[in-house]
Amino acid sequence: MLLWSNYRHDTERAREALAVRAAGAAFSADSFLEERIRILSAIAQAEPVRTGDVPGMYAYFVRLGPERLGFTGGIGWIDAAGRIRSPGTPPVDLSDRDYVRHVLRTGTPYVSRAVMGRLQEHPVIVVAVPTNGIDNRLSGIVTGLVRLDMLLTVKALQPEQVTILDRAGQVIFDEGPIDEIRLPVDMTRLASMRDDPDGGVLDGVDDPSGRPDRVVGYASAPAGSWIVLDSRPSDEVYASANRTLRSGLSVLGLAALLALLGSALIGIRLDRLARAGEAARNEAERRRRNSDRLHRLTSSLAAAIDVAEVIEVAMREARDELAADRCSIFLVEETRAGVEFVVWPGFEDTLDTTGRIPVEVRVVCRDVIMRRESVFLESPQQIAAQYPELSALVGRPDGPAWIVLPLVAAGGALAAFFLAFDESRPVAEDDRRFLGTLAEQSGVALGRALLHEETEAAERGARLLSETAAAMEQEQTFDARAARLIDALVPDFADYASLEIPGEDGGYRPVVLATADRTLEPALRELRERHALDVGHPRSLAATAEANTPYVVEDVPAAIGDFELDERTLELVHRLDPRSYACLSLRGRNRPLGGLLVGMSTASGRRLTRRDLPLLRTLSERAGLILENAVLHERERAIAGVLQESLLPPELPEIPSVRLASAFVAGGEGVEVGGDFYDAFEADDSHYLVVGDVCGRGVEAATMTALCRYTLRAAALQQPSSGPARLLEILNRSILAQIPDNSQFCTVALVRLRARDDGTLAVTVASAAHPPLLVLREDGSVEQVQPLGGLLGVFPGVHFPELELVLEPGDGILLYTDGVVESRRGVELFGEERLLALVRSMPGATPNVLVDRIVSSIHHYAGGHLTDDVALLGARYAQVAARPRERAEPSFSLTLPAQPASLALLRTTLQGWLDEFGVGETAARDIVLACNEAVANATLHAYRESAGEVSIEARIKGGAVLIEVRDSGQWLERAQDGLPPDERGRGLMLMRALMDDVRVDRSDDGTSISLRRALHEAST
Amino acid sequence: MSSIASLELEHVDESLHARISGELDLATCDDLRRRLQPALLQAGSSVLDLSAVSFIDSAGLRMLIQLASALRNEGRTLELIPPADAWARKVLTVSQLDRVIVFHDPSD
Repeated sequence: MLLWSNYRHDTERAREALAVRAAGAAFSADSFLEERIRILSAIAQAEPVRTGDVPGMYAYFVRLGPERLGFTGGIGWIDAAGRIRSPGTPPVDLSDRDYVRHVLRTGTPYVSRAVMGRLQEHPVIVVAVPTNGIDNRLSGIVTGLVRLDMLLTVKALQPEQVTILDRAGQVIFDEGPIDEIRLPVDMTRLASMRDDPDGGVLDGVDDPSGRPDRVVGYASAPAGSWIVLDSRPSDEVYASANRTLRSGLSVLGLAALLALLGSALIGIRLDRLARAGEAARNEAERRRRNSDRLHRLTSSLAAAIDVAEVIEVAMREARDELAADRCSIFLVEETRAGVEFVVWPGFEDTLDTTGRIPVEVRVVCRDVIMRRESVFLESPQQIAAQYPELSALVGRPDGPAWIVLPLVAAGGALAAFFLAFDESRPVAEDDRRFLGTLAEQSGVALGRALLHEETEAAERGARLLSETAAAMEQEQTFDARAARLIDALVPDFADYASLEIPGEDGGYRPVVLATADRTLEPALRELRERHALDVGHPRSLAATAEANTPYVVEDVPAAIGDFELDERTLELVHRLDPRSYACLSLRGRNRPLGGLLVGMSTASGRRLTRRDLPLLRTLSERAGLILENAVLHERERAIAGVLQESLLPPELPEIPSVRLASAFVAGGEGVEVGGDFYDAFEADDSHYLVVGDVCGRGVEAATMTALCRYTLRAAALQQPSSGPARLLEILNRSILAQIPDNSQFCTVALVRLRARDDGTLAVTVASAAHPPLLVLREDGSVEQVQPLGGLLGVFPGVHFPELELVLEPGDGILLYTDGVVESRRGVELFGEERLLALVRSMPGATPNVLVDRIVSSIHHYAGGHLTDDVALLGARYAQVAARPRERAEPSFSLTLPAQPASLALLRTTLQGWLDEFGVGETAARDIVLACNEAVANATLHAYRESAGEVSIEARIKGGAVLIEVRDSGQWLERAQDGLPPDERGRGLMLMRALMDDVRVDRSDDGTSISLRRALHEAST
Repeated sequence: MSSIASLELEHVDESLHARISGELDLATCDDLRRRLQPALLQAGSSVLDLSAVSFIDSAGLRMLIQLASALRNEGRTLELIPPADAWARKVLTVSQLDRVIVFHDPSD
């Protein structure tokens, strides 16, 4: 039966509409919540949250603006013990709260039931997300409080009566003020509603607020486990269907009556009846269509994620449904002058020929945005009636017609949606309702998408900042840090970047640059080198860097005409094809270091806008400080190195029969002068070895080091008879006198070496609280020696005991600072035992080898990272006894005319000298012949025409005879010396055959031949 | 000009015995060679006696080589009696002169 089927159809549509609205509201509530969870998850990644820095965290939260992010009740942090932490107030224990327990137990996000906050007057929803510390372990919870009235903006989607229940069945809100939280009557029904994924409709129920006989459309929101109810009185929902049924029935009844009265009228009445049925069908069809398109709109918008998609969907729906001739979407820009608009790209239909929004359109849109109400202007007459000031601008009587809708989200009006029709266009009630819904849902979707994009951008920005800073700080030098900065920017964030510093002429030139397309790097370099501009050029990177006035050029193609560029530059610009770029300043604490250029290419589709400037500014500020630290670090390191060298002896003195070796390794970062030192010097008939350790580092330690070294040197010279103990006493007094506040003290080991007549070495040791020194015996055994003396620079009148030792040939000693035994691997020390074992493993090693091996061992032990300074001084008494000091070094000196006749005289005198000093006969004759050859060479080659002189110097030193023969003439090239080739160099050959070492040095001043012959035979 | 080296030439039939004593150096060799070379070439056979030489340097060695090569051009060899002094003999060995000149054992 047609009537019944119409009725059923209508009631079904009404029920469907209810369910659709409930699902839409659930979707909105859900996406709102999910968005909050995403936002909090991003916040949980922020540096101060990860490090648990509570004041830093709260400063960060304030900067973010909780209200702006939808957390109308604020953002907070709860530590792993469940205590809410905020700067300046004691922690409050919340560990009994469901949301705290859940997150700490599971490590997953949680949305609470509606709760009454302690301090808030309003019930709130707590969104709680776990935070991880720098060790990546659960460190607490970041919570965002959403006040329930915030959710009312969700309700704005659905102007009908929507109720939201939390999972405990509490009413989170319904229409009107929320004055209490009530439990619904039927928990079983609530559970089944929550588990019904498709939602549904309940007939004839009391809704949770207790209102009787209602139809309830319901849907569940999975994120919050909430139930969204769209409930209305039964008769209201079914009114339309009932009306159709009643009118149909009444027509039927009337027809029956008339049929009784006469058949003449039946045709007409049946016709009328049929028309009524037709109207009812049409009405049903219309309702079904409306329901369908609302359903489609809701699901399309639900699927749209970013701003472009939301706009695309809204536009498509409006165009298809209304058949508008032109449409545009104008994004609202709040400026100081009021509301302004920016047209969304791709929807420029309504712009005038100059690309601007026509003034009449702007006026209407502004009005719509201000009033937050849709405007339907169906004809020019209506436009003129509502906007008299525009009547002159709106031409023809039959058109146009305009529809303007405001797109509004929680944060305010976002955009005006403008539809224009060439002809007058009545807008039916259904269409108005549809457009109203469209505007509301698009507004919410747009708000969500904008927030999402903003959050993502903020997240990207925060990541860029922290990753860049971390990468830069891994390096030490300016150049390496600069390279890391550019690496972090290109290609992830930008298509080009160039870090530039002033050259000698003040022009800024690239230090490091990169392009996303590597092949363009030379072009960028050439472009930047070509324009190495100095601060004199306004808008140059140099001027920007020096004045700290960063800026963005959003549209290079449009701005390129403003620059006067030569042909080559234009060519380079075209090749690079920049779309936009930013000039930034890299500054230290109070001075510019350089500039940073960041750009995007047209090809990449990326663009820099003014909105990126705050992030770029923060990035360049941070990078500037990190770069300056590198500069300071490098400089400090260099200064420390120079100072350190000046505090150590440039070279060790030569001590007869004693071999010395030393090492100094600066610990830590090497930026400060260390406190360890060594010294070796001669005073009177003794030699002194010193190793010391001054407390602290830096300039004060350096002063103390210098004081120690020079006081000991001076005292040893002035008081030659004093022993090491006396010298330490003098040093102690001198430290106390010059550094009276006891702020500096040190330890010193002082050793005096004195040759004894029996060929041994007398060693006297005194120590001011210094680690033991090692005595290395020839047989490989090692003894520790540590005379017990107090610290220097603490108490006056301290005495130091002395120890006497004897070193036999082959014995040695080793002095070191505690940096050797206290070098670390983790908490474990290298220790004295390891040092002793190492030294014992190298019996008879020369001091050089010994010192090198110890340094490399502790380096290796500490994993290459010495935290403390290390100073080492080693000595070994030579195996062979030295000649008595009293005997003068034998020497021979003779100058002769460079003539062949001089040779005999040379031979006679030299032979006599060699005999005198006990040089054996064969050696002496070899030496005489070699020297003869050297002199003969001089007479033969040097002075062909005129006779000059030749000088002969000879010495006996270190068991060898050393001879130097010198003339002031030039040897002729061999080819010119007139000798047949096979006889060339026979003299040289003889010298080489007879001597251990022959050196010929030719210079402009003459030629010298040095001869050395070791004396193997015992000298007498 | 120098008195430190002297030369005695003793002709026995066609054979020449030339005896140098003293020191052979740059100052003495030129003079010695001027006197020795014609005498050696004229003689049918010859022996150069260095047994009394106490010193010899590179100029002395050169002289010996020059004399030896002059004789070789005539198809003859220079026959030498080496220095009695061991050190002087060593110089000849060191310079490898024994490879180009025939040494007579002094006991011959």
